Amino acid sequence: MSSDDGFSISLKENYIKIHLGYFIPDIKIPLALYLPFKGKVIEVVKAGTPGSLDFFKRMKSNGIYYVYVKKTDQSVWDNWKKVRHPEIEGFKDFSEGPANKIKSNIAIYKARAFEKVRIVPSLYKDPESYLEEVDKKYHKVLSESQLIWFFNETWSESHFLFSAKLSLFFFLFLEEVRSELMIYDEMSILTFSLVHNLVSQGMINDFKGKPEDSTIYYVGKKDIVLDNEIKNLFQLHKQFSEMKRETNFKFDPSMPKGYQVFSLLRDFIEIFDRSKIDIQKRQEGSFQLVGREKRYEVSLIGHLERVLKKVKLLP
Amino acid sequence: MKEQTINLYEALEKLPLEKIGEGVPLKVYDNFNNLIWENKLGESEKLKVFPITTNNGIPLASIRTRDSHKGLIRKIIIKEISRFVKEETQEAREDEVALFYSDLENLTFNKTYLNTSFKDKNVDSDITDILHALRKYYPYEGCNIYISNERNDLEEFVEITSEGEKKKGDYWEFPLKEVSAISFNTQTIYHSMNAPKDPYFAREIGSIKRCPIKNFIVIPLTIFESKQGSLTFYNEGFLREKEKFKASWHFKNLIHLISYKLFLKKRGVEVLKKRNEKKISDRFTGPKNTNYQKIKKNIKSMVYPQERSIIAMYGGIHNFFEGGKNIQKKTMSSLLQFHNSNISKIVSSFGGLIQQFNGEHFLAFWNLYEDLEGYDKLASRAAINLIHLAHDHIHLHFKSYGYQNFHFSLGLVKEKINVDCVELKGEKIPIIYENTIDTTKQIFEEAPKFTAYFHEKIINELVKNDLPPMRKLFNVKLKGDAQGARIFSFKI
Repeated sequence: MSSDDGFSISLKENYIKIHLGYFIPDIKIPLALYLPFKGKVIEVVKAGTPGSLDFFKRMKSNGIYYVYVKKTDQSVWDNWKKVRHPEIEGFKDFSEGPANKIKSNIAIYKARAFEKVRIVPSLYKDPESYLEEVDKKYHKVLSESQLIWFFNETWSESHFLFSAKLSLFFFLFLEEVRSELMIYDEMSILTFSLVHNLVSQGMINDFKGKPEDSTIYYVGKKDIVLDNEIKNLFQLHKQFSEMKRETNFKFDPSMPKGYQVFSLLRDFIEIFDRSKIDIQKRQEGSFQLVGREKRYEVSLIGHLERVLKKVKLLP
Repeated sequence: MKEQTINLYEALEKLPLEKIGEGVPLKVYDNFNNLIWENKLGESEKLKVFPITTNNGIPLASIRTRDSHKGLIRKIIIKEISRFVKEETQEAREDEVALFYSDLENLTFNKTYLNTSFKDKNVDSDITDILHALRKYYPYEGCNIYISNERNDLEEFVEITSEGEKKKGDYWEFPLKEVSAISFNTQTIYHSMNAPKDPYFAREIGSIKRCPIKNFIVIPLTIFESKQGSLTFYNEGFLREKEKFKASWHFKNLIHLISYKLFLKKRGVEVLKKRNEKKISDRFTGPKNTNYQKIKKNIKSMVYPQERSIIAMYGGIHNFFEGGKNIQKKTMSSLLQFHNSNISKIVSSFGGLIQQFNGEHFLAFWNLYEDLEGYDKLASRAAINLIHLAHDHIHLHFKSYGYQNFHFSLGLVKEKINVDCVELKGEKIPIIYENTIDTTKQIFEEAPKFTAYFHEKIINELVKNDLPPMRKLFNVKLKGDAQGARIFSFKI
């Protein structure tokens, strides 16, 4: 074995090779940098000092792109690298990470929704093409840019399922009675129905607040930016949820229509899911319970009754 | 992007043709029919010549081989040529790195650090400089930064287009918060090659009529695990058709610089304070600690009158009130407290005794109430350390709160004095008759208006042979009031 080989082996054993691109001139390098030179390893930058611009230019002009750090300094290097070059968080590509997760989560979400909310085929002229159309439009809603964060997370199974059920039911409800409702912020309220009460897998044990605060807790913790209209709806939801806890609260016609519809459908599904009534009569029983509360406008209850004839929910 | 010429002959020559042609009769020609490589197999066979072209039909080479092998060999050769071209392109980009580094000279942290005021426009102009530098290497039609605010929302920070720089509230060419939010929320780089048909943003892109958006790249700005905002390039001109964006080292470094500047803008004062509180004052403390209890006893048991050699030090901040006229009184008071506690810590650590704080000034003595070995050496060391502290730390700290036109200086006098006392309610209160204090104060007052200054002459006289000779290290180039300030150090 030649002495050169021996030198290369000892270099490999004792030093780590790193690219100069990690460093910026005039910014301190926390550990000494070395270069092999005439069979020796020499220190070219002292620990804690910055590499000068001249140093980088000299390296470049000599065709040197890599320097060495001692293996004993590996922990310092790893820490520094993690802070200055957090590739894992900072420079990950969307197409290599979230893109596939989002696609697959949308597909799962849709599958769950269509499994639990079904139309009564006999009441439609061409049920298959109707469903195809619904699927297209619903997919468009789910692919909104402001829902990307939602599909980039793993939510608790029950919350995910409730969201899927509510959003598709809401969507079908709007398809049926849109012309009679005149909801001006339809897209926002639909989006809100998806995200209004979420608990991620990671926060199941941490979150102890009220249901209406769960998403806000998550959004705050992860620094997620939401659209202003959605943020306003969260505030509204918080206020109304408090008021609804008082038994006598009734919605006034002057209150936002979109939110009223959301609230009605949400209450209905919640009662439906909790109910112990026989599955055949559960939908009707739940509807009667919602109606009995007299919380919502009569016209809205009428719309719900109409839609429930054409749409069937499954627990 | 620099034009890249690939020598096709060189490319073909470097291919591992021996491996490719193993057991198969093969002759390889370049696009001018020059023979590049051949093996002697299949000489008796009837072989055919097949062209190797790009998808667009541009001839790259031709091969003479068996009909049954043409497809496979063609595939292998095209793959190898692409690999070669890719590597060559990569090298060409590395050449640009050197050029890039020379630009970095103007973009590093020093510029902001020496004139620290994280809340003023320095940080903003630094970021704009970086964006202009980026444009040189990564041409774009427009780029903008959205930053996160306290309300957990993204707000406009700066946009650079051919029309120049636009701030929050100006008319922006690409006001697409939704696009910025994707990177911010997912912490990933999102590259849309065909923006009008983007699966998530087509609607938003369609809403921008004035500047049609063909493509965009949005990058999260995150540092120390803290999300700062997002940077988006619209209509980039540095990638080839269908080339996927991949952040290079120098690109990442610039992105980090922007993130760090944004971080400083938001939390610079806090970070500086935290870092300094923990470490900086420790760097300047001395080996000895004044025992105040012992001094109290000494004062009581001292014999008066008495002749003693002492050192008096008078120092503090000049122009404290005028310099901080735009600052809240509460902040001024906490800064004064910060200044006084640091001064006290250092003086005590060199065996000195703070006699009194007079607002932003202080008076300290050495060897007054107790016999202190090498007191002059200790006092001069304390003076030097206080000046270092003032320069490296106090000045920076005050400026970060917006203090202006202030400076710090010290006066030191060594003298033999008579110490007497007056008795008040049975307690002895020492009195110094000479005008030492006045002289010291005078030196302090006369000190030029530099950031940090002390009487070199006096220190030299004081230390004489006690200390190794003092050496002027360097003249620091500072701006404004700080110009001409000198930092001294000892050879150790």
